Amino acid sequence: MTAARLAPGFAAAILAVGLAGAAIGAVGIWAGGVDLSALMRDPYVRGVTAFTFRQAALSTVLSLVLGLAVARAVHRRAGPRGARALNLLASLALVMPTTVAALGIVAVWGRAGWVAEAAAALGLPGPEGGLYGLPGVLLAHVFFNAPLMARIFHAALAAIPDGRWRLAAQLGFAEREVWRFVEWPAIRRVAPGACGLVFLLCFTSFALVLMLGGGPAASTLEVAIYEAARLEFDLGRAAALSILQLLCCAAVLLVLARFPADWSAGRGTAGLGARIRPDRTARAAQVTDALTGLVAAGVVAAPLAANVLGGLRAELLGLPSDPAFRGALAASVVLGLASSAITCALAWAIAEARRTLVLPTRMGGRPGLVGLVDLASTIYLAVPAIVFGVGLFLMLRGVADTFALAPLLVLAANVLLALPFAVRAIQGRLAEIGARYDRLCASLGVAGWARLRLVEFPAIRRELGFAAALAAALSVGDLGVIALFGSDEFRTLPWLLYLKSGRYQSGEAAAIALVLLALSLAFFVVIERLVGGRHAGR
Amino acid sequence: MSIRTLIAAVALGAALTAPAPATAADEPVLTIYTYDSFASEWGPGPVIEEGFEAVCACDVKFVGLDTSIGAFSRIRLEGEGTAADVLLGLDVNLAGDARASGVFVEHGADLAGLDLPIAWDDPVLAPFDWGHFAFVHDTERLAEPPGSLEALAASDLEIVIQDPRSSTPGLGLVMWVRAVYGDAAPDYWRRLKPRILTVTKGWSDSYALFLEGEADMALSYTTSPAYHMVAEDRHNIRAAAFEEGHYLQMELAAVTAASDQPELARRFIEYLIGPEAQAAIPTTNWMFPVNGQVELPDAFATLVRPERTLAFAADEAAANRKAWIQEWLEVMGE
Repeated sequence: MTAARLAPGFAAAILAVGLAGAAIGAVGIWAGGVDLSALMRDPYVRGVTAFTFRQAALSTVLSLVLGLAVARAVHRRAGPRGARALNLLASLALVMPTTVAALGIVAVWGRAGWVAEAAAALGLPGPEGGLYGLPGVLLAHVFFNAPLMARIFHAALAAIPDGRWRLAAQLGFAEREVWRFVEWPAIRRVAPGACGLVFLLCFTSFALVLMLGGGPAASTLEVAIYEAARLEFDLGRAAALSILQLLCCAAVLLVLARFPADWSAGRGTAGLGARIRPDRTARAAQVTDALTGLVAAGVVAAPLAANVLGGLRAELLGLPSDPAFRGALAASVVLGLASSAITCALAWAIAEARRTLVLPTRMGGRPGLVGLVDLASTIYLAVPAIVFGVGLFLMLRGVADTFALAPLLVLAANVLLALPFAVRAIQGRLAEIGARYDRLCASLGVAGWARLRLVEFPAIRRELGFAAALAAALSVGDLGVIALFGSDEFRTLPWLLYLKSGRYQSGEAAAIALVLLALSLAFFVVIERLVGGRHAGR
Repeated sequence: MSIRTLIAAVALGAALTAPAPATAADEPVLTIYTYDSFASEWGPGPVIEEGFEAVCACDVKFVGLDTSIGAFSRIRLEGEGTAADVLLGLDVNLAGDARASGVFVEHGADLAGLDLPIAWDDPVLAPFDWGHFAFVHDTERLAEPPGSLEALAASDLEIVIQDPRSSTPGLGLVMWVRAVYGDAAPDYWRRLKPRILTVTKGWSDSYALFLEGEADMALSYTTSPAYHMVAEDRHNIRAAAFEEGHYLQMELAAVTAASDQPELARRFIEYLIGPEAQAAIPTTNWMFPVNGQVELPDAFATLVRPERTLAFAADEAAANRKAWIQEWLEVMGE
């Protein structure tokens, strides 16, 4: 029984780790060996690694703080509609191509941005070039990740049983006690996973860090990897740097896996808890929520709005008649759907294995194995696309026509990229279902397919709908691999965006960025409803 | 879920098996690796493909990869088994690496008649277009741009440049400063640093920051204004002429040693530097053609034509590149 529950997830995990390991290994072998100790002695590498750690840790903490504040504010005040808006915002921020998002941030906070204009109109000192540097890097990372954190935390808050809120209200809890006794236990179990994900996303950031970081003082390991793999064609060094990056990320994930996960909270009837929260009318909470709203508007909503406005001003009308655009749109839609289906299947298998390891009714604990499963579902985020691409190429050449395989490789890369998000979207709920129904199912003899159909799916479909939508939106096309393989027949929207912006056609690029956002939004509305059912998106 | 999976799988399958255009069985295929915007619909690729196919009795296949350096890496990784007959697009700063790699053979073309800003008779690497790196500005925002590297550093302007570790123009500027200042380059970088608003991974991010009005000047090409004039009828984007001279950007073509039809590949190089292919270069690749007989669009007559072209010999650039980038990094990271 246990073996059957673990096997598919472990197989998926081993596949992901194996593929990444084999790719880096192939690069190292081709280069004739990898010298990690020389790397550790290199002051350049040490400096870059230190900066990478620092900015990723700071970005994670800031995203955590803002995400938590937003989640609490939305839970306190916004109701189901607000929660839905939060979900959409989280997905939109996530799917934006990084350099497009960076331009949105510049449009708001830059020298010639909205804030500067407003300041000039009021006769106040503007931000000048103050954006560029660590503030810019942090602003950008919070833009991408705070909405994601907020979405995860809000789901955790919404899952607190109404009974606890009622009790809290009866006991007359102040805001601080509400946090300590009601919210914290729910947040605590999702926070390590969310932090791990965000840390990895920030750790491997490249173009964004350079552009908003103001120069090479702010450069991450990924820049050094690009330099080694591309400019110097020093593949041994590129492989060694990739291993260093993986080790850093693995260490962080393993540490986070040690935090206790408490699976006792159930899913409440959504909405009631929020209405009876005793701290809704507290003055301190009102002030905090208003401030949170203001910060979130400036950091997330305004740059997003700037991008939408920029896209609307651009040459949208010419796009539909452009065959290159139509082909890329079709490819991105197909890729999004295919990737979404495969990602959900793999994510379910991994989440099943994970809950089997974690649940007290099953194996109860095993933080080491849990960390490994988390790493497996997250590893692609830490594997540099350029080294992964070269490695895949080295493995495949001689076996298959790499040009013909390009679309499949892009699909595989997209699945691996969306997997960590999908796993995190469903693993908490799946574990909860296990905690609640394992004994009942065992006593009734409901197992295998029947359990999946009668117990798991109806209970998980809301979360699965979100995972499917998120995977589809994320997979409209990853740029990391496609450009390395070169394929005339298969071009995605992000690829077209990259190409147009690299060729003076920035107006069309802005329009394509807007279409990308619209497509992600459409995926969300349609897929989340189809898979998630009537209550999707709550 | 299963039905949707099936639909998606079928749709993806259909996308994958899209039929390749039919070619006569006896026609050889000439495969050309290059950077993807060269091969794209709006780049020079399709025009050159059609033109050469009309005279070669062959099928020309362009493969667009992320960058020309990426295409070069690909050929090195593929070794003997490479499908590439020709590589297009390597910059002069990587010519030394290309020669040393041993994966290319002599092109056999006569370069003596070419219209180039420097003397160039390399038997392996044939130039097919060129321009100069330059700082561009918008005349509506900056009427009087600085006239030299020195004046730029002394100005109060905010500029954007690219990282030499990831970008061709970024590397070009490192070479440019080295060519002008020699060992005093770090001092110049120290003077220029306060002017640098930020450094981007690639050219497009810098250029976007400039067009959005965030930066006063961006490191780009002397030919950039031509795009805005020809394609957009905008005449306010100009490049500033610097009195120290401008560093050369020149794109090179090479025949691979592993090619099984080197003669066809050599004929392609001849065609590429000939009048017909060269006529397509100015308004598709936005660079100067190497053939002096090509009639240039009017916009090109208004471009900055530096009196002094700066360029290091290929071997010198290759031998010092790493140290010079390091020098830049140390000052910029201070």
